[in-house]
Amino acid sequence: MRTTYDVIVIGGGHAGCEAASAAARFGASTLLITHKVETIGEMSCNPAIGGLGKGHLVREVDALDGLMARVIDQAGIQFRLLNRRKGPAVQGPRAQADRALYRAAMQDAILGCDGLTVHAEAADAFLISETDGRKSVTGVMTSSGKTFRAGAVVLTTGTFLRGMIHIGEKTIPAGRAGEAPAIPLAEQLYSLGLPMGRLKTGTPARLHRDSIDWSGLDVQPGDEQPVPFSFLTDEITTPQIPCHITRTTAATHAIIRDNLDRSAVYGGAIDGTGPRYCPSIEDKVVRFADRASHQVFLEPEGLDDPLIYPNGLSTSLPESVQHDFLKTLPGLENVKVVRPGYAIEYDYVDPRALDHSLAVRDLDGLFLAGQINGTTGYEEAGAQGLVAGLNAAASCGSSAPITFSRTDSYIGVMIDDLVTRGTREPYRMFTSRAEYRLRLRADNADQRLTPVALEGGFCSHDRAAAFHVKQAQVSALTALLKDRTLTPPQARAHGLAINQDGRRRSGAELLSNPTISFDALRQIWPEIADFDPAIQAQVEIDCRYSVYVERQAADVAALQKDKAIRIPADFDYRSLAGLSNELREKLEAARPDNLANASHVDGMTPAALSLILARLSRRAA
Amino acid sequence: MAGSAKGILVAGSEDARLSAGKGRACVSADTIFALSSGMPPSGVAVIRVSGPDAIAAVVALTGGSPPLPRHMALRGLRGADGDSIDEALVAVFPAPGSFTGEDCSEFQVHGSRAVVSALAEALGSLGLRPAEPGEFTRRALRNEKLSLTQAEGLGDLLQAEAKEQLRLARQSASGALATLYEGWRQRILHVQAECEAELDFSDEDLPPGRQDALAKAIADLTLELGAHGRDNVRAERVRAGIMVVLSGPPNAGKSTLLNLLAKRDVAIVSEEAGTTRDILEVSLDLAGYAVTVVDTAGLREASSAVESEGIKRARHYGEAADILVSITAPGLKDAVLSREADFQLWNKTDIAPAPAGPWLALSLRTGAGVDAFLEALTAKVARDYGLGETVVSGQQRHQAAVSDAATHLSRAKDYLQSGSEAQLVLVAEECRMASMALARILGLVDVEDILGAIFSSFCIGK
Ligand SMILES: Cc1cc2nc3c(=O)[nH]c(=O)nc-3n(C[C@H](O)[C@H](O)[C@H](O)COP(=O)(O)OP(=O)(O)OC[C@H]3O[C@@H](n4cnc5c(N)ncnc54)[C@H](O)[C@@H]3O)c2cc1C
Repeated sequence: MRTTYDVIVIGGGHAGCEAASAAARFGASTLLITHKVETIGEMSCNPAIGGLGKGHLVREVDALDGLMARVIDQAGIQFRLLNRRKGPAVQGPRAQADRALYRAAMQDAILGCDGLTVHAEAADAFLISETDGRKSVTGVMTSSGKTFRAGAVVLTTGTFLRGMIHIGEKTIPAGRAGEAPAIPLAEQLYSLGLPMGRLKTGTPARLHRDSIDWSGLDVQPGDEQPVPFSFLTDEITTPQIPCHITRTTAATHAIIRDNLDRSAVYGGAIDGTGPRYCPSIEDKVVRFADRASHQVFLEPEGLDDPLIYPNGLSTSLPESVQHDFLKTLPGLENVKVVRPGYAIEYDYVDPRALDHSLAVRDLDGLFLAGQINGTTGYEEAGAQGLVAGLNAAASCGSSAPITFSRTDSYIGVMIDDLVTRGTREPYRMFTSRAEYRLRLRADNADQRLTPVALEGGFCSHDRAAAFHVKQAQVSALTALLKDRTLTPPQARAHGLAINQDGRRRSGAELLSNPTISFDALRQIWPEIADFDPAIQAQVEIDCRYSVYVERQAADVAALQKDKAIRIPADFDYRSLAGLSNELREKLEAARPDNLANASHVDGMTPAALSLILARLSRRAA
Repeated sequence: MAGSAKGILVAGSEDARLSAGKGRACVSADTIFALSSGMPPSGVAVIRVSGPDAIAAVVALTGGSPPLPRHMALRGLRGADGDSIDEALVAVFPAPGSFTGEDCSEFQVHGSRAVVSALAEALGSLGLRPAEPGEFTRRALRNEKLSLTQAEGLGDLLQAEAKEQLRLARQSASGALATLYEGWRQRILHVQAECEAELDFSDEDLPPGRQDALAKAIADLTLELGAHGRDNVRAERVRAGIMVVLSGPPNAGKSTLLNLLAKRDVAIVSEEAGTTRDILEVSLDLAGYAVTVVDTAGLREASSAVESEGIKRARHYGEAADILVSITAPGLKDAVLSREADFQLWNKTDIAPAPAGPWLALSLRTGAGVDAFLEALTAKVARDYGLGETVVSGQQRHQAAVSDAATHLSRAKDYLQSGSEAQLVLVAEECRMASMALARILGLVDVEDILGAIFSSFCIGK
């Protein structure tokens, strides 16, 4: 058995799968160590991929030739483009997954990946070596005592580090329902001095399809024309099914309120911080006491799967209470609970211990990705996995790190937020986190990022070919729209309402006026219609936002200037007199590598920035 | 330590301010000192010290324990050689309860050059160094004793010449301005957050009817920022000095009027036409407003190249004046300016009475009518530039950002009014830009540039 690899990835969840396949694509010989082959690609919670902000991440992973988008395109059973009416910058593709199909497609992708080997066992310890007082990870030991050596290790253990499940008063050590937690590994991380914390999240009960009375419930169908995630998928061929909607009632809220002290979260059994964005039903009832009712989506876990996921009812109340309150929702009067909901508490590593390549700063050869970094969600995990995998591989071949910035991608925004600000609650992506979101759209992820994959040499032939074809068409149509012009009287003759200011306008300029439709231009210049509708849509969006995109370019330039002011890794914040203790601690934890990143550190003040700047200019002098 | 002695004397002077250029930030491992009162000779001179050795310096120079914090004590000061320097009032301000937030001390000595330089030398020999321009304020800023707008206000406070300038500077120095801007910024962030909720949580069931509240919030902000912006334009004039330009044909009496206003001879006044070839200015305090009165060359066909250049400039000033006063007198041709004068004076009523017309008649020689003119001028200044107790800013830097923010907000309003859901993302974007603009005033972004600009215009000792 081979025991030496370039890269070892621990954990076959969403982060681990992207990390392992990205490292292999980069050309590293890669070993994926995970508990079981059968749980590779398991969706621990909600059987869905994408959503607002998250859909952007999936498109970006795809643009970098990652797996997630292609897998969900095979496994999706209900596709919906969220925010369809709210403009392309904030539209988010989302799809419900058939969990079994998702697992199968992901396992196919992983097992069929060149240069990637899978070993099914628990990893229990890192092999550590020390030179000149600097520690580095050189390999991994498994629970049976096997050792594997590697140039770099990516750790993606999700909720498994000292995971503890809570159901009412009951506690079970577990990584997720029915799976053992990873305890030795967590203990070693503590002993290595990594800054660790505790977070929590929860999941609802799973219900049996046949015990639900569907007749009176509202139906939520998917989109007529499913929009695929991957730039390489032409068409969705998996059968599509609808979801149903029910609501909590006054009776539901009363039962929950009466039993709050029995909830693990409210009874005080858990001290980890939970996500504000994905609150438990207990949270919702307490925090939004004035709401008489909350929406609940009944989502099938698969085409043939009898399990129903009641989205919106995450809880850690005792099983019997869960059963009681579930029965008060319309349609669930006779519901059968197959598996109770639960809350899980787990260790995470303060991501400020990482740099932008997701490498641990004080421990060479170790990269972290996914829930272990304080995030929540498959998409956040997958995107980090990809970055960590690429960089682990790059570090072995001594290539330069591949990093992303707030100005080029949601991936860059997320990693920058994590490593410079850290997180106090499970972090999830939103479009509002991206200040340059008018540029960073789901529709143009390939144009933004595929060139990075091409340049880095980790892009497949198929994708490269498809990208070049699309790029050529986009350029041709853009050129055409810039070339065709109208004088104001001509425009008026075509029925377009524009200022009669004597200024000739190109088709591209006309589109920056929201009152002018693309259809109108197609009638004036029929040659536009010769292009593929997807290309037309893309170019239209580019033109519509062009004014803002240009303005943001100026902001980006200013940011770039501050970025150019580097802060050395050994910068001594202690010797800066006049820095508040709180801020000093934050800076020492985040250790920003340039002034722009320093300004993002939580609680940063102009005074403190000027201090750092002053010290830097003195060092330079 | 002649160097430090020289340092302290030059520190407060005009030269130091000019040569300081773009302020260089410094870190206080060292203790600094500076003459904080006016240039000697003066009755009393105040020397301020800030930094880790500020209190040790008191001990070293007085040869005893320091006075109680924030209490004045009379002590004899001696240099390293044992020679007496002076009897001084001494006070110490331990950190953080001091202006800079560091340990500070203060010496009030007799304001002679000899005493001040002897004290400077003694402090220098203790290893202290003269402060750079603005260094005390910079340290205060760094220790969060001041906000950026407060620091700017402080700069203005030191430069203020008239009551209304002082009021503006105080609003800024006291933090009232920062509070105002931060308040708006928070409100804009709130609006932005409302939009973001609509965009990022549209798949949740949000309560309906928030759109109207949003529209009202943006409309209110647009109005408030707009009005503030207009006030700022006036405040900017108050801060810089309101420019009153005297214009008219040669020999009408412009220079005489200027002299009369200044109560001293500033312009060459002669009967020979065309004497005032250049531009002469006098700064006045007119009922609490700083007013700059500008005397321009007489407007006529120039007889020389120099005079023609003067006339060109005179026209230019005339156009740019905040208040334009035209003067003429019997037998002179009216000079034509493209804008109408705010006051039309008819001089030399002692020679001939004013003809019918909009004239304000006076005789600069006898003084008849001069008081009436001054009263009218003062009333106009108060009417046009009086800002009451409104919090305003006279800083161009602020005004540029406020007007930027107002423009973005009014665009946000338009987008919202379009009623199209697809524009909501642009409403949010405009709000983001608006709050960024205000953040820039408060020093939350573009920090390096802002600090550089602020500190280069700073004077030492405070
Ligand atoms: C109860 C629960 C509720 C959740 N609720 C939500 C939600 O509402 N919304 C949301 O967006 N996300 C939710 N999530 C989060 C989502 O499941 C995770 O964010 C995502 O799966 C994280 O991906 P990951 O790759 O980091 O880890 P995981 O998907 O957890 O994968 C970890 C993998 O590592 C393996 N592993 C762990 N330790 C070892 C070891 N020592 N040796 C070998 N293999 C190991 C495991 O077997 C597993 O395959 C929830 C998760 C749980 C458990």
